[in-house]
Amino acid sequence: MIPRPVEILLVEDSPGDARLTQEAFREGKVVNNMSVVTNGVDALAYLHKQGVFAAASSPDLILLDLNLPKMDGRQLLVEIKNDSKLKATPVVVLTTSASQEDIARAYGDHANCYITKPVDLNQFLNVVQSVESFWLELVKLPSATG
Amino acid sequence: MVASYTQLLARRYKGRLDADADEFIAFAVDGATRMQKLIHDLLAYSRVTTHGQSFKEIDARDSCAEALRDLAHAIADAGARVTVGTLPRVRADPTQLTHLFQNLVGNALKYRNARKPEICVSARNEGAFVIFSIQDNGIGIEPQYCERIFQMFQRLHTAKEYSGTGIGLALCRKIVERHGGRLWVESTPGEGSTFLFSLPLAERTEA
Repeated sequence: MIPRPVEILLVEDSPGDARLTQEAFREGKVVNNMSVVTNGVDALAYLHKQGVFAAASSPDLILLDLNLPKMDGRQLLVEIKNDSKLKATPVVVLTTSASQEDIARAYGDHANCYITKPVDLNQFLNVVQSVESFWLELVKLPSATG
Repeated sequence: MVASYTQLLARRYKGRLDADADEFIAFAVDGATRMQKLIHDLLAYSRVTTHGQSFKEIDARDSCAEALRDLAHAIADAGARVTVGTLPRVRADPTQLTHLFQNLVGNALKYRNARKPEICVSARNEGAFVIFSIQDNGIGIEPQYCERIFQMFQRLHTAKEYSGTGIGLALCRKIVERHGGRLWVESTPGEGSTFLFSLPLAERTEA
């Protein structure tokens, strides 16, 4: 039985950062499809399959940047974790912010985990590998139906 | 330095490596340029208080005129019409007032839509203060974002849609508040925005 690719939603406004993240996940062992949206408003539309996102797949995992235009990642996290249809989806906060306040607030709003993006490329690739090993290989995801 | 060498890479090797390399170089050049702009804008923001000059009685018309001269290219490129009404004398830091006009008129130009941009700078007295308004016919702002845009780094668009560091309006608000005034916006999405700020009138107002 061939497992279906893991669907990942990356919420990231910088195209450079999005490309890096996509490249890093592509190098990993687990086959995945990554969709990218650039702000919180689009992310919600994607998750609710509205408008241009009517054909979107439900993501198995959400990678969330905190600093986004329009609705920022902090507010999006609250929206997702308060929505009965969306709250079970694991949200990995992947952000440049290392502030204690952001970390505490994210966990308080039920982020599944919080990762500060390293500036160094090699360290970033290691981080992505760890995210893959943990979230895509080790843990069981709520959406896993094979 | 970083920006120069990445641009040199682009000039010498664009189209001579593979498509990925071109894209990576483009990201690097873009990133370096945005970093420079960010540093510049952050310095300007911190200097509002550290380099602020003492207030003088000045003619707001002069400050506005200087700002429009600085924006001459942008105004011409946008094919915009900027009209300036009667502006009074105020108590202000001359450099900062020019900066304020430059930022707000600059934004009015930047966030234009397909229409020919029409920007109107005017003023009305309200007691000891004068309320300046910069009105445009651009893209407008949705009501739920009208307060948020004045916060540092809070943008409504990606860098690809409209360039910017997210510091401009925070800078403007810091300048206005240093002068004891208030900065706010009234807007209708799709029709345009009016940015308003209050400044203390000069003690002797001319007719």
